[in-house]
Amino acid sequence: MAKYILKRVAFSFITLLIIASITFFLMKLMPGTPFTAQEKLTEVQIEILNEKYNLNDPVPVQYAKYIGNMLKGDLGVSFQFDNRNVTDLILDRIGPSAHLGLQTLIFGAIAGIIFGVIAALKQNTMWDYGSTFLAVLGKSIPNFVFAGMLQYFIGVKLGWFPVAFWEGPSYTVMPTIANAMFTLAVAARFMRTEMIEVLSSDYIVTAKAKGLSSAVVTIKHGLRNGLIPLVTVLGPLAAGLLTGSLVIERIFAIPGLGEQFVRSITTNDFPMIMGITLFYSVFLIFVILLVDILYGIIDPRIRLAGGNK
Amino acid sequence: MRKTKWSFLLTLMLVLSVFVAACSGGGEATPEETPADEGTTTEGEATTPEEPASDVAQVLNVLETAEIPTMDTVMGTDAVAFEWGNAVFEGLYALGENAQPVPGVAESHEVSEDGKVYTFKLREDAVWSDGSQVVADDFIFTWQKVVNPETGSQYNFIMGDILNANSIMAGEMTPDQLGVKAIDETTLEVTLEQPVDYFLSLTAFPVYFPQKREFVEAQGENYALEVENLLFNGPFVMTEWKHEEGWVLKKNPNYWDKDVVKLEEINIKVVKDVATGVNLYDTGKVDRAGLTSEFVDKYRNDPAFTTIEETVVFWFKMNQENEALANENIRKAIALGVDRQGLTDVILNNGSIPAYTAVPKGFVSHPETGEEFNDKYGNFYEFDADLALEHWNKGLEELGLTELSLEILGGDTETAKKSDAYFKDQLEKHLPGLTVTLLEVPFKQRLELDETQQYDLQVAGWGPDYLDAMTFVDLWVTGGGHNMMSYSNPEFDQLIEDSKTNLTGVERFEAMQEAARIVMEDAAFSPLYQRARAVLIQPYIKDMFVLPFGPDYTYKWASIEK
Amino acid sequence: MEKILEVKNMHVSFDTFGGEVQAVRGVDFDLNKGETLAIVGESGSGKSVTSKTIMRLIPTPPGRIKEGEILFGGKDLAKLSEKEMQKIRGKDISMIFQDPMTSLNPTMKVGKQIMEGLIKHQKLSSSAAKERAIELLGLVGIPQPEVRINQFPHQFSGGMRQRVVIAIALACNPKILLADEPTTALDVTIQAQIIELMKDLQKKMNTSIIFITHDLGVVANVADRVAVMYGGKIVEIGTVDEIFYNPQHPYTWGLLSSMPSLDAKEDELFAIPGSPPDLINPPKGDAFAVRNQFALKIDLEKEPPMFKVSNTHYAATWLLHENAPKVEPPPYIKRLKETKQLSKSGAKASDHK
Repeated sequence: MAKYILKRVAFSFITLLIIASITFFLMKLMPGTPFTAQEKLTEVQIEILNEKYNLNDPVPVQYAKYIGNMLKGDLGVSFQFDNRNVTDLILDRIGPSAHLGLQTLIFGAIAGIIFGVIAALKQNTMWDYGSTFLAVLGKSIPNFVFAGMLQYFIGVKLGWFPVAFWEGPSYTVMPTIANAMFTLAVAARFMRTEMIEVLSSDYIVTAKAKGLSSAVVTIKHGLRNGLIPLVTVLGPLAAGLLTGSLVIERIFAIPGLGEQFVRSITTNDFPMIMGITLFYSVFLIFVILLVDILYGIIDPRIRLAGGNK
Repeated sequence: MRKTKWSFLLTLMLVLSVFVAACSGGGEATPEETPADEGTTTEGEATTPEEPASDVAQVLNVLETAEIPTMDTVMGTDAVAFEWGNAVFEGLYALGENAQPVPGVAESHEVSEDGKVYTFKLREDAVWSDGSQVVADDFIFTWQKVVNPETGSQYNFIMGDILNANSIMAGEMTPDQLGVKAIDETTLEVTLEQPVDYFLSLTAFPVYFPQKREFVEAQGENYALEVENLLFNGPFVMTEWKHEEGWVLKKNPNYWDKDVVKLEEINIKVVKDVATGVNLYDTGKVDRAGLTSEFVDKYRNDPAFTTIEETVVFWFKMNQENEALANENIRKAIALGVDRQGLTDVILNNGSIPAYTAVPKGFVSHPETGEEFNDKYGNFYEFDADLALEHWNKGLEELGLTELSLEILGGDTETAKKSDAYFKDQLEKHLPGLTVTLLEVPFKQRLELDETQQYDLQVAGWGPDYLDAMTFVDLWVTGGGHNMMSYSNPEFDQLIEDSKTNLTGVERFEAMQEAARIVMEDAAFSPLYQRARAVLIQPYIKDMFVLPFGPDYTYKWASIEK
Repeated sequence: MEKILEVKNMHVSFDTFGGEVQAVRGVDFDLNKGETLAIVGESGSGKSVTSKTIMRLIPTPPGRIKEGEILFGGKDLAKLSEKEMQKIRGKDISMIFQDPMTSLNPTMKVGKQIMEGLIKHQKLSSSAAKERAIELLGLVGIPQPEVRINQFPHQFSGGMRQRVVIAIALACNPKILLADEPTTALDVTIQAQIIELMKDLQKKMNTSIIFITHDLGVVANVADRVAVMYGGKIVEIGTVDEIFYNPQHPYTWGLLSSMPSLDAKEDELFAIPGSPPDLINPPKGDAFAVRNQFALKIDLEKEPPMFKVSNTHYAATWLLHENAPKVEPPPYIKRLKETKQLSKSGAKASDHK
């Protein structure tokens, strides 16, 4: 198992380097530098700024400098915010995004699993239809519509939760719910299908024949097997959360990384774009690694296929 | 089955209860939460929460659409940096009501006969937040920093009128050769290249503000990164700065004019979404919120609703490299052929008004009569379908054409797209034989195409850099960096030249009016609309003056009156 | 012989979109202590449903017990609540199923699957349960049980898995073991092993077994008594000797004749013509009548009652009525009677021409 993990980590690292390089060259292809847009700059000033940020060096040189610095943990200085370095800027803002993302994933997955299992157990009853309806809503309505509705009806009209900002647990409730709807929907549908299949398996009958209560049968025997495919979906779901949260962060004025990312792109802030892309990549690769490991833990068949004699 | 149902419901309740528990953190304002967050102006923050509000707390809560890019006044380029820089720092003069310069750090000044030498007397009670006095050397240090090309200040052109500034910025001279001198600690002498009527208002611009030499040098790379890396000398000081989230300003106890400052505290939070801002306003969390056209109709009759005309104009630039556009009649036809009212009232619907002049309304007035700049010659080429058709036909005849195809280069934002579609519709309707195509590109790309003059008609806008008509008028000089239309009128050029060199005061003003008239008559370009913004401002906010450029508002004189 | 289970007049139906499927249409039998009762029949005869109903493992909806009693330990299992049944399943009555490949939870260690029942029903501690589980694995013939107890089902072969299944079933020393075609999915040599194991364990634990199968060869090996089911009813029931050497019901004749033999001189295997009855609209008379070359007119009109052949042997065929014409069973059956041997000379297709 350890060897397996080590190998995956090494691959992850190489993947990161490739991602960094591709992003770098893609950005270089974009027309202009951040200073093209400033109407009020003189030629001289543009020259000086380009010099300052090494934009006049030949591309391979810029690339080498960049990779070199990256390995040292120095992601450069942001173009937008005079004199602040990218690593600090990202670290400042990553907290709320990570918090929101994690909470969303946990809430969405757990709630989704619960709804899905209930739907499977009570197939073709109101519980099932209700759960399906929720799932359809969750998947088809974009999260910012939820966000806007929650903010207006619950935040303004009812006043149950704060309208915006990120200053305590109560602030995280509406953003999490809005953000988690999609995850919830996917998890619910998935679990429903899986559980229906699992619950009709032979080993479930065996378990019942042992005299175990239906709760134990469903949870201990059924759920674990039903969860396996869900874990595989969690990887891409987590990735989706990164991009989905951009709008939520904006609407609820959450000081996270997502909005910053968008602004960096529109202002051609190369170092920020690279830095955030790298962070996202690290996060994703980590999640995928985690999912692989989790997969191995839950399904012993996978685990042993790798290392058993 | 019953058991299963219950255990699931239980788990569900557990999950939900996590959030219900979070709820107890409070959806309403509680005293423990940071004042920057939910302090409504009815609850005092200085005293215990239970005390009834007899004395209205002077706390203002506003929103900003972006994080402050920099608090280094030398490096600022956008409205956010200027607004808050203007609240916590102060220059020689400041802009007050109606954008009139009032004394700031300088208590008085004298101008030489030829108008080129200003001597400022600094007041002795102007201090930095560390208690030290603001001295002439602070200005010298800072201004030299601005013009030094190595600093990379993107707004340094605004010091172009100071002796040697342009040469220093071009790298031909050294910063210490800048035309500023400290006669003594409290006397600053500034020499200009030529007289500048509006120089005082320039000194109120954040780029001209002072920074304390010893402090900045000691801070090195860290200067202005955080609250502790800054010294303030303005009506307020910044006490908190949470990047991307917001910042807090408190009245500066050491400010020389502190008796005038009524606000005790200003809380600013960063909110980018308009709907969120409106929701915050509705729940009483903020006192001011910007509106976009969707919200205008809903709040139009609210007492807090107001539109603020900005001094920003949008126009059609007409590229005379295009043979058709080189024809004056064609250009006049285009200028006459767009009903701007339809644009402003329906599409923009935010208080923007049609524009028919080279300089926006309400920007500058006659130094003697106080008459508005545009009153003398009035509007040019107001919408007239018949007249447009006349000129159009004449132009086509002169060119020997029956039909014409032109491209409008514009932006790619929602507003831009809607506006451009409207223009196309108007022009094609009123000028038969004209086919209009639209090219919608991002801002940067449009600028590039402008620089290389690759367009027919271009929708462009301009805002002032300083408080003088010249900032709009000199755009159109032959070969000017912002002309890019191959427009050239020697009479116009001469007037501009004169205004920049030997004319002052009334003569200068009237020369600029003349120049504006010429370029408008030539139909060199066609103004479309003057932008305004719709805002909700709580009526109990008094004297929060709007400024025509730089910062949007100035807070020194503002107060809450309930 | 002491009766340990009494099934009286069991009727089980399934409510489907097509209508009510009457899977079990009146089944009566008893199970004696320590004996092995085999229930044989084609697919769809109702044998599986019968045994699952005893355990109340039929999902209700769509199934339901229309009528009948299942008497065990002084209680009527048909009327007990789910909770009460959970106390009996795995403890007093156990069941093993056909496919060992899918009967075990693939993600749970084998040991755990055995221990579950022990912990629940016998309230053993984890360590005690573990010890017992290792014991059980040894009992069913799995080598190195202390190692294998921590392995997963996919690490066992088919036959081994079935042994594990048996271990699970017998963990709490149940009084009755219901075995639903436990050897059908195994190959023949393993089949023999498993059957030997079961017989061995039965002797040791004095368990009563109901053994469901369609394979008469296995029945001959394993059963004390046999019940033949067709169309949801028992058509003949008796000791294994009685059924094999003196079968009375034409269906039983057909079944016995269909057994393939190594000695068969002909290439054609005998098969009962026709197909099982439609249980949504079961026939009015004897369900087997349409396929029965010996059918009497009355078979199409009225269902035959159980006729007594001996104290232990009953058959539901009008042929046993005193007024019925004398009918000779097919030659193969006669041969069986005479030789009292099975499979030396199998039935020939020509026997039935």
